[in-house]
Amino acid sequence: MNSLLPFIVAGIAQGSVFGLAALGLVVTYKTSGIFNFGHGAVAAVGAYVFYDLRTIHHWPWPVAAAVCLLVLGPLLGVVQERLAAGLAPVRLAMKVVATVGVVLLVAGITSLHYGASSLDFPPFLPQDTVTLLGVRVSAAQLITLVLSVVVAGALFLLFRVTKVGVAMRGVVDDPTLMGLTGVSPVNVRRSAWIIGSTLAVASGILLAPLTGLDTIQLTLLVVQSFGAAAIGRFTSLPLTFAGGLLIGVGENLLVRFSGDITWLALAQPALPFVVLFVVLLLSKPAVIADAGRLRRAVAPSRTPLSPATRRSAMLAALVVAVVLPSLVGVRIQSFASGLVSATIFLSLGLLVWTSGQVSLCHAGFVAVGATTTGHLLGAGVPWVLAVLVAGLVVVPLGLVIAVPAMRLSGIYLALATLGFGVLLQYLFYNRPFMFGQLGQIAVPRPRASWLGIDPSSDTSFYYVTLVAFLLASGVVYGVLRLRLGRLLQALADSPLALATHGAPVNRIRLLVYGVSAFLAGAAGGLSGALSGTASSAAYSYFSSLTLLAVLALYGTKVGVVPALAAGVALSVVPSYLTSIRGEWFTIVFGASAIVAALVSDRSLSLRLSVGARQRLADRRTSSPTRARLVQP
Amino acid sequence: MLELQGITVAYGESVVLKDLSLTVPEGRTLALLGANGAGKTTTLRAASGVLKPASGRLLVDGVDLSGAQPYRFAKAGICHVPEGRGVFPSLTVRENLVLQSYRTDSAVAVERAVSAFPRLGQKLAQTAGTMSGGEQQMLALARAYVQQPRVVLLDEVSMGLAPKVVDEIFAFLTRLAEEGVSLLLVEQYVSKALAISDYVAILSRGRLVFLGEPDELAGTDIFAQYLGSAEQVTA
Repeated sequence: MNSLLPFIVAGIAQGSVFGLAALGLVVTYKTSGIFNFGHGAVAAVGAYVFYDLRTIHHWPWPVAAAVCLLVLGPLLGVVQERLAAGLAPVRLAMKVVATVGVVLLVAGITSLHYGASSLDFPPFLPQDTVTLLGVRVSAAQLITLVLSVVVAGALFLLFRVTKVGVAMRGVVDDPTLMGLTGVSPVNVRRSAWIIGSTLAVASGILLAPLTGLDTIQLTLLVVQSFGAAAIGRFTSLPLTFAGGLLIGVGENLLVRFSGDITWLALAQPALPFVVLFVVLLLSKPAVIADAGRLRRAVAPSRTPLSPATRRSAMLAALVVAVVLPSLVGVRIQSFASGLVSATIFLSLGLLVWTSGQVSLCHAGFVAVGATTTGHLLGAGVPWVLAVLVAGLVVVPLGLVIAVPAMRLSGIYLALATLGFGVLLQYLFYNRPFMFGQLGQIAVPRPRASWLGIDPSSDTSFYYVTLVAFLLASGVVYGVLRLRLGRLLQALADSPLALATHGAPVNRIRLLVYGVSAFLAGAAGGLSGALSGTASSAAYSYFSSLTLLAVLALYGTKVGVVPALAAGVALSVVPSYLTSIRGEWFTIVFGASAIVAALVSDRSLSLRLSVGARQRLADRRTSSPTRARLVQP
Repeated sequence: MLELQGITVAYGESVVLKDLSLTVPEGRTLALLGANGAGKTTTLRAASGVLKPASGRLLVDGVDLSGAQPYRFAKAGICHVPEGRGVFPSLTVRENLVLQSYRTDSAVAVERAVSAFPRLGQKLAQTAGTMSGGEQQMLALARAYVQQPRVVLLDEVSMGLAPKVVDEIFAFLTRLAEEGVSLLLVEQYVSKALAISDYVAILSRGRLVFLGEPDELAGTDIFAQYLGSAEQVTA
């Protein structure tokens, strides 16, 4: 037991910071209904600004900390409140997209400014140690713990006792009613975002000395708060804080035992996600609060192209695709890459836009497809068969995700998929059955030669990816045009209504996941074969975030054109702009995703079109202009 | 007290209120009647700032509040009890009351609410969303008491409730009126509403077609004309 105590003490200190971060997350979620995937990114901003002031500009640390906590935190809170207000009417998938966009934006900017590698973040709190109950405890650990407990206690009292705290809990129930009680709902939410954002900044500053300064790492580390928040069922503040402590202690104990059992070391970063996953799976759906109800607007119907125009356009596009290699020369490789990305986007779009379920682990599906293909090819399986089998191997994985999808919906599914993606990356990527210790595996292109054509040349492989994309499009269109397509649309609109009509909702979800996972897995095989080697770095959970952000840039419908456009944006454009640093693309994808989410409110375009018609009518009849509902 | 001057409201292309002018006099009760879609709820929403009219002015004690946020109206003494259940379902009864009590001390607020609806006194710790419809409506109305407003806008507060509860609610409205609070009452129980009203206004398709005292309606066919048959409205 004595050998465990130091780990427990370190765990409690670290866990109290997770607890702080988790409290911030829950406070904002409870008041705005927006689950902020960018919470860790805000923590990273706090840590970088603190680093900049203290290490680069040599400010005394208390001054730097005061600026971060009293100026930066509230400022970021106000900005986020505005963002959250803009996101209130958009569909859930777009809310996720926007906060994921914040992660990309921050990761891009910090990496551009401070470099991609982790920076040394020297401890700033006193490191003297005292001995308590036979365990050496540093002053920094004690200060962190005391500070966190005091803040958590104060927050609990604020919510229970004060009027503003009660208002914060009430505002998510009914913001309009809140306005009628004489309390401004905007002010209430702003206070909550300021608290949440300042807590994120504080946890970033407290965590950075332990982890080093690295956006991805910090984003992920504060994501521990997801696990803690799950223990608090996303509502209870005391349980959330306790959850943070539990995860901190759990992680440190895993470190203790990983000396004996090596895979535990890999499991350590995945622990909060295991917790999250287990809580989500064990929870009755009704137990977890679903803050912020979805308001759905009716989409204005666009005039479809006439069948003749559509046929001509498709034919023209096909001709361009066929002659493309002679037009772009050596760059054809990046177009092949674009087609593979487009296939992945088809698979992701099918899941997100037609069945209304957000996946944040798609890169994981693709990775499994790539490595399976590599292993099968290594075992001498014919190329096409290997890719198809890789697709099939991913199907059960998709079904594993579909289990929580059937029980939960919306934001919890997005969280579960993120957890699953991280779990996959940390627990399995470096295993021999995936990328192996070196983190890469050979995935050769097809070698057999038909009709004297070398299928492994860049041009031939481009045609392979083209055929694969066309087949995938055929599958997706097949799914959408059948009865299943209509059921999917109904599922996205109202699962309850569909279920009461007697439709097999769960079977539909399983089927969609199956098809989507199959396409992602097969695309994985192709993506590995693009360069001949699949490396684990290309399929990180961060890639899943990028995939979702780019997908959202091209509307909310699954189709050949949006998938191709997204594929071009992700894979082709950067290959033409080689002088621009990769971080800029991350920044652009992140910022565009936020904008795309904000303008995706389909009622907005409806309102605009009504407004335009109204103005026309005004000119004719001088009838009164429309009233507008006050946005709470 | 509360004055609506030339209010026009339109949703998209359909005009719901057309140049409506209406005054709720100090300490008096005004019943606002009309068929479905006549614009009653819209009038109340405009009067409490929830909806911004396209044109017209809203005066509270002569102060122009047109275009202000709803919470400013609430602070000026306008209390809107909206259609449906105007409570925060995830908060407890006590918390619901505390939230409304920005003008008074929380303890006083709870005391006032319980004096109006004793049943709430036994349920202070209960989550509002788990109470019966009648109890939730009582809680919503208790707010009108706790907030110490000067004008209360009531939108179909008796809808879907048992007759016994409706009687209790009307007794409460009478008590409010006796204490000098002005009421603007939209109500499906027309005869009950008229019994406690000083004035009655009838809306038809967004226009005011009648404004007078309840007695003036006797012997006219205004009900039949604008509200359907008398049986339907009093049922």
